[in-house]
Amino acid sequence: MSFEEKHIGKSIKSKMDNFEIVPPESVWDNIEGVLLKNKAIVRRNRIIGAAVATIVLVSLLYMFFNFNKKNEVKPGEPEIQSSPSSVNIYDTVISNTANAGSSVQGSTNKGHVIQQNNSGNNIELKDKNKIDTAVLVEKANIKLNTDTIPQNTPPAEKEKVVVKKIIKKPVYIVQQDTIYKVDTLSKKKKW
Amino acid sequence: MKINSLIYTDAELVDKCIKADMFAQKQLYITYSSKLYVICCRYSSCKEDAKDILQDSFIKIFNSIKTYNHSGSLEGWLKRIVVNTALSKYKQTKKRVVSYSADVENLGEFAEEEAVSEEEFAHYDEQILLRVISNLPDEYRIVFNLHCIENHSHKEIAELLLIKEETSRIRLLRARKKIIKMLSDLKQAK
Repeated sequence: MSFEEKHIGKSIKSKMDNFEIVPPESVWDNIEGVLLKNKAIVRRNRIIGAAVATIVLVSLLYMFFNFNKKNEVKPGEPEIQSSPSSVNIYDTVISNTANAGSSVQGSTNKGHVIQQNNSGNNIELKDKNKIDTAVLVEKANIKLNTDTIPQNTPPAEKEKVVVKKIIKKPVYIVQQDTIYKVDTLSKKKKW
Repeated sequence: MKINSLIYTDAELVDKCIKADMFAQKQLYITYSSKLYVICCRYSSCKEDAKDILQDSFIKIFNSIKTYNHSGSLEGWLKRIVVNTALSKYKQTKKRVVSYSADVENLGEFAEEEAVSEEEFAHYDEQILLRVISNLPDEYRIVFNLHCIENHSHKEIAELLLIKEETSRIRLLRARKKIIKMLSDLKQAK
């Protein structure tokens, strides 16, 4: 290797060390364009993130307050009992359903019994121990029509059929010495 | 017009660039772009490639400036990024083409090589040397820059370029010969 070949690298390096060339203006323009674009993307992502967080928070708050309002007990109204011992309309059956037109008797977990005659005018409170649980019939004298039920239907099935027919009508329940008319399963009004 | 580079110190520049301060970013560009552009020209065969490398390098610099831990000089850190960007570009567009740019004027007829003395070499300005380096084939140019100017060993160059150490040595030797030849051709042309 000649002297020049050996030292050409070092010579060039020493010359290049402090050498500068001003780049064209267009280079910075392109760089600036990219930087501004990146900034806009970051800003947009932040706005979207904030909007999503706000929507989620508002939804959670709405659900929270709505839930609380649903379970709110209005003054004068007794609290709805959700214990297993409460009357569950679907589970109760009618006793003595074979006798169409007879009075329907029922009781509640509070020990109050209501008995209704055919005319539906009198409602009496009796001792629970005497009577099985039953679904109450609307005061408007809806008669139990068991004629449509086939004769060979088992009693349990018969009872279920009757219950299904009655459930469509408003029923009454008793809680804490007060009779309530239940229009739906979830609403009750003082009767 | 060059803005006074002493408005911010390097540390302040870095802090402001991390916060995406446009003024500080331009300040950093103006302060270091001239030196970094020379590196880009050394690693590329034409001005367009050099501009692309510089542009990509600065975008990488601004995106990753938060990783600068003030351990070495800022200039050294910036140069490393530029070199890495140039190497990435080279790897992407690797082609075995012997390129002689028309920028080198009047090479003259091919004749026996004449040695270039040290005194003669001193007369060659940086622009001419830069053109000569740019006119080297890509693979020779990269090895020459990495070894002679960036001071990488052949082993490191072999790892960077995924070549054999022997290949790196051969390419460097050929690069030097070619540079000498081009300089002597220029001398003859004069």
